Amino acid sequence: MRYVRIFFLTFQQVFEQRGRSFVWFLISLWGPLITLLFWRGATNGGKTLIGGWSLQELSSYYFFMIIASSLLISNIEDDVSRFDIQLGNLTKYLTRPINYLHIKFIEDIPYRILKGIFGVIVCLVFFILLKGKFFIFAQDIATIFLAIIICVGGFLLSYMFKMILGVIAFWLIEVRGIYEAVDVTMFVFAGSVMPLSLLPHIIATIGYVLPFSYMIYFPIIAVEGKLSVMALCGVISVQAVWLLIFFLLYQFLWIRGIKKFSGVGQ
Amino acid sequence: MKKYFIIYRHLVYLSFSSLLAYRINFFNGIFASILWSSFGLLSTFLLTSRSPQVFGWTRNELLVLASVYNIFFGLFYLFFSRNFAELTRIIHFGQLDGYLLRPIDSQFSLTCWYQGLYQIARIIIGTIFLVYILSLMHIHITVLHVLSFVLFLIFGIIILYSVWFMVLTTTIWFTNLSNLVDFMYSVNLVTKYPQEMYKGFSQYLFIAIFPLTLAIVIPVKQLIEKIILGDIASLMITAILLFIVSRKFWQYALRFYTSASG
Repeated sequence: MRYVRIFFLTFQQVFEQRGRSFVWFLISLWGPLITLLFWRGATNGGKTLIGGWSLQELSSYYFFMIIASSLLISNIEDDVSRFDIQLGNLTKYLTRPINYLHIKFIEDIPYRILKGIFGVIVCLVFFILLKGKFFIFAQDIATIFLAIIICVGGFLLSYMFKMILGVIAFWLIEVRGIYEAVDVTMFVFAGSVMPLSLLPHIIATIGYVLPFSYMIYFPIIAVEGKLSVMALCGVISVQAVWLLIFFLLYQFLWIRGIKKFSGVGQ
Repeated sequence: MKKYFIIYRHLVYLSFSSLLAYRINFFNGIFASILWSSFGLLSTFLLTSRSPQVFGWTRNELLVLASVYNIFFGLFYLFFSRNFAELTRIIHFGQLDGYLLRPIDSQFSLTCWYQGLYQIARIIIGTIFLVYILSLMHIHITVLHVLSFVLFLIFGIIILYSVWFMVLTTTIWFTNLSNLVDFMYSVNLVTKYPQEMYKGFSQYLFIAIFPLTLAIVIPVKQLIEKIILGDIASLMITAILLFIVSRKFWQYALRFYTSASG
């Protein structure tokens, strides 16, 4: 019950700053739309295929990318590293009878929901304007159900990974370089630049091994119904393995990091 | 004018001193610059790996565009981007009074105070890759090419500076939107692609973002010898007009500023 109340209180704060959230959403909207214009030219206005992908499939992929990058990718690392650890706000969480991992999770969800709503509204507008021509959805119930699980798994993976990045601040004062490196890596291997299947073989193979594609790329193609039920189960299994690895790594870093933490004058 | 040159010289010296005092920050900045410039080139390389020609531009020409993009934004971020981030913060916290009371122009004071010297890494990477690609294309570059390229780059920077300044001036009315500067970083992506990409999609879109499409494409056309007189004229006229409009808009917006007396 307390988590529900924390969620609603946080949602109130987030909704109060909805203008800022909308600007953050615009950032995740802009890139996919510009890239989509590029693909429009590369496919000669839809007349040719690129690596087996038609303009319709590419358009659907990037429209879902707008929603996925708003809804599934957490940005909690800056909050954890800068405000909680470096500025000492972590003290207020440590004095509460609530697990830090849980409470940050509850605090992150309202941001995801609000940005996700913006993404859905924008895609709805495109859906209506384009008469649904450039959207591809899974058709059967089993695929839709498994796709939803994969999307949830993608968000959980992103959240745990970003929490690990956040707690690195227990040891490092300047973490910006690491965050920039992660952003660049995620852009390439999560399928944000282009679908993994269109990347050169060696880069795509690395992408399938790393966890980033399971945060964005696989949720998108799962929703589009491009994977069989067996492949969907395989993706869920890989997500579960990575989630376990991230959880154990986070616990390891947290237990050691909290011994180093000191908060003054909170 | 001489006063501003002297002040600017002192500011550059202070930036350099700060760089030496906070060396970890500097190396972090260098690392981030190298990463993002490499990513810019890599993303163009990957996007063009499946289509050797897009919008009448060959792959090598698009890679030239990506290299100049790095040089252009290395210069812009070196001179201006940190100042724009500070501008939104200053307005948000109502601290603009102190800047308005200084005996120098407020626009200069707010947009030219800091320099991001670590962006030199981005400029160097962009230049190296540009020279390499131009050699692959067997394009012979003369001193005149370089001088005109630099001149057009300066006009392009004036266009981008004016657009950023106008957009971020709106934070005087919308003080909460201090993250508009982050949005402007993503808007810069418009300049990375040819004008034909936007023109072919929608005339309205093209008109809306027309100034941004000139900033990098015209200097690149100069290098790959595709430029026409109309391009030069549109670049220069747009730059001058936008700068005047941005300045007038700033002076108009100041009438609406309310401070926190900080």
